Amino acid sequence: MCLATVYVDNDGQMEEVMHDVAWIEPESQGVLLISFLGERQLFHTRIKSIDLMRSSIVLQKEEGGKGSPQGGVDPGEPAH
Amino acid sequence: MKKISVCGKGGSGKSSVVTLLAKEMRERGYRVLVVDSDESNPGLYRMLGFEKRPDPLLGLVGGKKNVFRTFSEESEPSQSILTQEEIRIVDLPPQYIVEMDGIGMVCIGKILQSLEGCACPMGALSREFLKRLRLQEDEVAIVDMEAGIEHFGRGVETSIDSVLIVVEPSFDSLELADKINTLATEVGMDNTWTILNKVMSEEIALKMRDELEKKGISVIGSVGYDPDIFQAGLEGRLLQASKSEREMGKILDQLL
Repeated sequence: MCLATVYVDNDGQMEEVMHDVAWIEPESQGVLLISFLGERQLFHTRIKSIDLMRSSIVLQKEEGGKGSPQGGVDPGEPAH
Repeated sequence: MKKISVCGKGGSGKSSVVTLLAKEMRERGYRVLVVDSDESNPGLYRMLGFEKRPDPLLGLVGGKKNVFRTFSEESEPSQSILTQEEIRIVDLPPQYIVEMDGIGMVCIGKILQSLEGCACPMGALSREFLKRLRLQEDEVAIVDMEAGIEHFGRGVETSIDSVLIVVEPSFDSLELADKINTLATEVGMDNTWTILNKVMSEEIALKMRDELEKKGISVIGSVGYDPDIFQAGLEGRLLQASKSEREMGKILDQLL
C-alpha cells in the first residue's frame, strides 16, 4: 500500500490535512496520523472512507469543530 | 539548473549520462552531488569510481521496516536532518555520503527483499530530500531517477529545476520521451531537455531527431555508442570514456 493523503470532509469540501501518511491508529480520542517523516496529528473524529486505489483517506468532520486537528497543518502543501 | 533530474526508459543509459554529466560539471568548477534515486540498479557508485555505496537516506527515518516500529512505540520523531527545513550538503552525516574530488553521492534506498512492499516511501523521500536540499551558487545536484515515469506520480519533479530526458535508439524510448515531456510540462517544469544516447550512426541520429521533432521535442545533443561505456558497464567499474565525455561537454556548453 502506498503512503496516503488524508482529507477531512467539511460538508462535502475535501480539505487535505496531511500527506505521506505512513501510520494510522484508532485511539479512544480519535484517529492518530503519523507521516513518513514523523509528523503526528490527532483528529477527534472517525474515518469515513479509505480508497486504496487512490491512496486517499477521508475523515469525518469533527463534531462541533472545523475538522482541524490538534496541532497545526500547512494548507499550502501539495497533494501527493 | 541547480537540481537536474535525469529520466528515461530503463536501459537508455541514465546512469552513464549522470556519470558523464557529473564529471563535466566538476570540470567546470561545480561541486556536484549525485543523488541515486533508482531503487533497483545497484552500481552507480562504481561508475563514479567509489569503492562503496553510502548508507541509504532511508536510514534517516529508521529504514523501511523500523519506521513503523518506531511509530508504534510512540517514541519522539527522530531528530534527523530530514526534520530540518533546509539541508546543505555539509549537513549530511558522513555515513550517508561518499565524496571524492568534488563529486559526492547519496543514495535514497534500494529494494532489498521480495514482498517488502512498494517503493513509494523512497519516492516520497526523494521528493522531500530534494525539496529541502539547499545548494550554494557553485553546487549542483544530479538525480539518477528510477526508470520509467512513476516518479512523476510521486511528485519527485516538484522538487527539482530541470529534467534531462535520455533517449536511446528504440521506439519505446522515443515514445516514453514524449510522455516524460508531457508530464514535465504538467508539473510546470520550465527546463526540459532531451539528448540522444547510444547512437550508432549519424543516420540513426537524424531519424531519432526527426521522430522527436514530430512530437514537438527538440534535441540538444547526442552521445554516440561508446565501447568504453559498454565495457565499463559489463565489468562494473569506473566509467572512463573520453569520447563520450567530450560529447557531454558540448551538450553542457549549450546549457551553461
